[in-house]
Amino acid sequence: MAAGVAVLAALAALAAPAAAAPREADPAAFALVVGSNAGGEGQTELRFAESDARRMADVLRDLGGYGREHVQLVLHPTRAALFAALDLLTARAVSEAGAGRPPRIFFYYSGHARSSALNLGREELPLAELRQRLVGISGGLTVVVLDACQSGAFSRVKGAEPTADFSYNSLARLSATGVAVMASSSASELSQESDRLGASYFTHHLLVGLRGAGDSSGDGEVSLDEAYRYAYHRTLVATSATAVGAQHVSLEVDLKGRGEVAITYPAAADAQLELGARLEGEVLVERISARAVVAELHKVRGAPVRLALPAGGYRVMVRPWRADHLRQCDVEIGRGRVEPLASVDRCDEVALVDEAAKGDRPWYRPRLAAELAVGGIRPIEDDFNRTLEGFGYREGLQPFEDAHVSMSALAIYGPHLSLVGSFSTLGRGDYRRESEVRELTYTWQTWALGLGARGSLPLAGGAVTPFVEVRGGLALGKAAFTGPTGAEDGDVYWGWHLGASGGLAVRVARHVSLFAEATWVTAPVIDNLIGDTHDSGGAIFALGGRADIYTGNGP
Amino acid sequence: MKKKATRSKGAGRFGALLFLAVVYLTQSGYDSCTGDLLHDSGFDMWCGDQLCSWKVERGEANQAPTWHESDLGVALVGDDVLISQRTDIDDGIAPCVRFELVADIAEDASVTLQMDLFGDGEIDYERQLPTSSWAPLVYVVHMPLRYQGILFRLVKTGGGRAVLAQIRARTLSLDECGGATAIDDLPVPLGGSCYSRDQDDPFAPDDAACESGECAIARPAAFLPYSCSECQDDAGCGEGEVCGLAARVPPFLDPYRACVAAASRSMGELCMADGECATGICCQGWCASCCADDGRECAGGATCSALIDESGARAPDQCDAGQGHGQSGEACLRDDDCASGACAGGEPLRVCPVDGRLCDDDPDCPPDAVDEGEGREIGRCVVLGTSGGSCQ
Repeated sequence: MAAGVAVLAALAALAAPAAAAPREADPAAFALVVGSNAGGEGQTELRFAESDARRMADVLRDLGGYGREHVQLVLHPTRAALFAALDLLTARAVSEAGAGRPPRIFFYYSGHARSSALNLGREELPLAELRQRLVGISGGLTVVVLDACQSGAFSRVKGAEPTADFSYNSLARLSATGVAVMASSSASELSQESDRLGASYFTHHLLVGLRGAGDSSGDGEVSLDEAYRYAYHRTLVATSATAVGAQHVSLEVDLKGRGEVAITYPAAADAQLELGARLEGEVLVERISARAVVAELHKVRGAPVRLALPAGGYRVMVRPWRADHLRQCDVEIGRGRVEPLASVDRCDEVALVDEAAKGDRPWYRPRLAAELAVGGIRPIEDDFNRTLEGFGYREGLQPFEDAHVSMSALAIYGPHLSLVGSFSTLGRGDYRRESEVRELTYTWQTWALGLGARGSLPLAGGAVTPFVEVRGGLALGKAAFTGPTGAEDGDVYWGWHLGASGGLAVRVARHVSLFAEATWVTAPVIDNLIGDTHDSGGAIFALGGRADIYTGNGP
Repeated sequence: MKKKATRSKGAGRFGALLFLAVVYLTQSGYDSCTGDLLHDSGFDMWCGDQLCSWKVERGEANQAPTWHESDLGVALVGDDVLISQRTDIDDGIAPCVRFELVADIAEDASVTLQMDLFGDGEIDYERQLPTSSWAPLVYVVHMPLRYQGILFRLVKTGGGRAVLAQIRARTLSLDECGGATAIDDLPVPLGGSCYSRDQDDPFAPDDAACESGECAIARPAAFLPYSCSECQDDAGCGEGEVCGLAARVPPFLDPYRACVAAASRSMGELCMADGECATGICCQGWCASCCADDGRECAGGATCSALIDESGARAPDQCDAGQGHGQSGEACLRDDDCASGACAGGEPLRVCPVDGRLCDDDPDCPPDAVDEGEGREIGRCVVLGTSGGSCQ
């Protein structure tokens, strides 16, 4: 049986059309691909800038005719490291030009930026210097692609200062003879990342276009113009439903005397997926091994679309127009093959399960985080305590009596607002009285279970975040009295609590923060027969840690 | 003519005062660790439904919840209730007393704190507790220059609710006693100590301290023999009387010299002189039938000796005590003194083993034992024999 399957698979492989022979690398093509998640002052860390850069480098190597050694991937660089990479790029280009081969330069940057500079963490690279470096590589073609960000907000917005939009200013400063600049957004717009795509909207759609979806002419090449038009439309459509708003990709070209500029050559890829001419709908292609979306495109009936992909297994999900279901197929693309997917009739049908309603509304599934804090509580001394003292009891000294532990879960609805569910210990009491029979003891412990809202103000790119919080909810008290007979008499009390906190969080890793907080809680829970009610709250000082446990689906 | 004691030669003044303090401390119910003068301050000790450490003299006292249903106080039930507790303390230990309690007293109830110093039935301090709802109440009392023992009394009248808890009485030093209510100095009653407060001669007798004006040796064998008395010697008594010893005294006080009818004391009772004993012999403070100490031996070769009762009470010197040699009509103390095995003719002779004073019941005696169940000091009253008995 297994042998039969293997034979059939081999026959199917033979029947599949072969991909064109791989394109040989252009010895004069050089790429510098830069990604930096780091934020500068007032900017939060990005999540996908560096992975976008990796994917761009892969596409350039696989489909762009750039030799493996000719693609410099520089991640999280310092200003000096980026200058060094630019120096190497310039030296190689000058060398090629000197040998009579006009260099082909591709510069890609994904990260934070302000109106006048790229932000490399706390360092900046002025655009004027970058322009000077890139324009200084004369005698060839230079393509600059900028997916620049300025501040991470609710959806990790890129370029958060619309009046000083990077793309607008960068076009003005970088366009020159022999240079084409494609920027992720136009003036007065913001650029965004997508949790669902695991990439920025712009880079994702640009890459899908470069893999073949943008080859509107069907010539097996994706030109700069085709890539731009594809990225423009898909980015615009994808971002129009986000909370931040539509994002318009811009392109400024000054390539006098030149014709179409090919960026990638999908037809020459060693493996391709061909979506048949009759297939139509929203198509999502996911690489199974990586569980990463490699393409999301809008397929129309009438012409096939080929996507150049690395060989391997893929899951293709197609949602036909106006359908209330998905069609899902697993496709294995062999090396050197073009795997056709003519229709989805034989694919599995999958119900949408409300996915359509949530897909582009990321604020419905916030980021989740967990916190653990330990510290001490300074308990409240009130009439309840004084009554005990009046009856001859003295406060005992128990180890960790004033210790405080708090566990919280946070639903983070953006940089400024979180909802908090917490369970924490409140005040304990231990009172003792000597008698001629035996020691009498009265002890209690109180816990709080509550919900609250936290307001945060990220500073220094989210490295430091002051926050305030209010919360309230149930309080549970448990008391035990051991009398002269030695018998223990226990009581359980229910009540409410209210609290307010203030603190400061410091990010120590991408998903981990440490914080210090001061809290005031009131929890009148435990009472006595005389009518005194003890407030088990007090002033709490705690240190803790927070870790993200779910990244949400925000843009 | 008054007899004056000679100054003690063997100890320095400081040592003597220290010893004096130790003697009083070990004889009192005072807890030197906490300074507490009262037992069971939290009303934690209940013997069934009855208080163990407090004596309910009138009315009814029941358990009642306080701030917690299992932490009990005492409810004084009814419109005439008296509970009391005795404290064997004196002016040497407690020049100042702080009394505190927590009380829930309704408007239609009246509770009064009383102190009877010397335990002679005279109320020397009285303070009505205010109406309160579990308010801590504190009274600091500057005690008089001389006193022996305090009987704390709580008296309730009126039918309203009165629940008391956490009653404590503690000693304070004079330095801590500023602004306290003072009890005027009291004349020392009969049986009270009457030593000088002169630091140069603290053991000197002080007639002026006594209400009777007489400070006399009443217990010759004791380290502190002086008590306020009625007489110093027979000259101070009437015809047919001798200056003997009054041996039925409240527990806070000591036996004292008093005029008694001649030959009126039975064998086994305390005495000062031969003339007050029916046997005509007062031996080492007890009326006896012989006296081995001073050579007044028995006739017929009988042995003069004293038996020690199993309770620790000392019996008087007797001829062939407990040997069953007593013939009919001879004086006896116990049945085993008589050949017939029966000693009859009088009332039971009840004495406190601690010093031989006469008593009717345990509370009449100074503490000399520890109650095993409750762990507190108690006095004991035991039957030593038959008062004025003769062999049948």
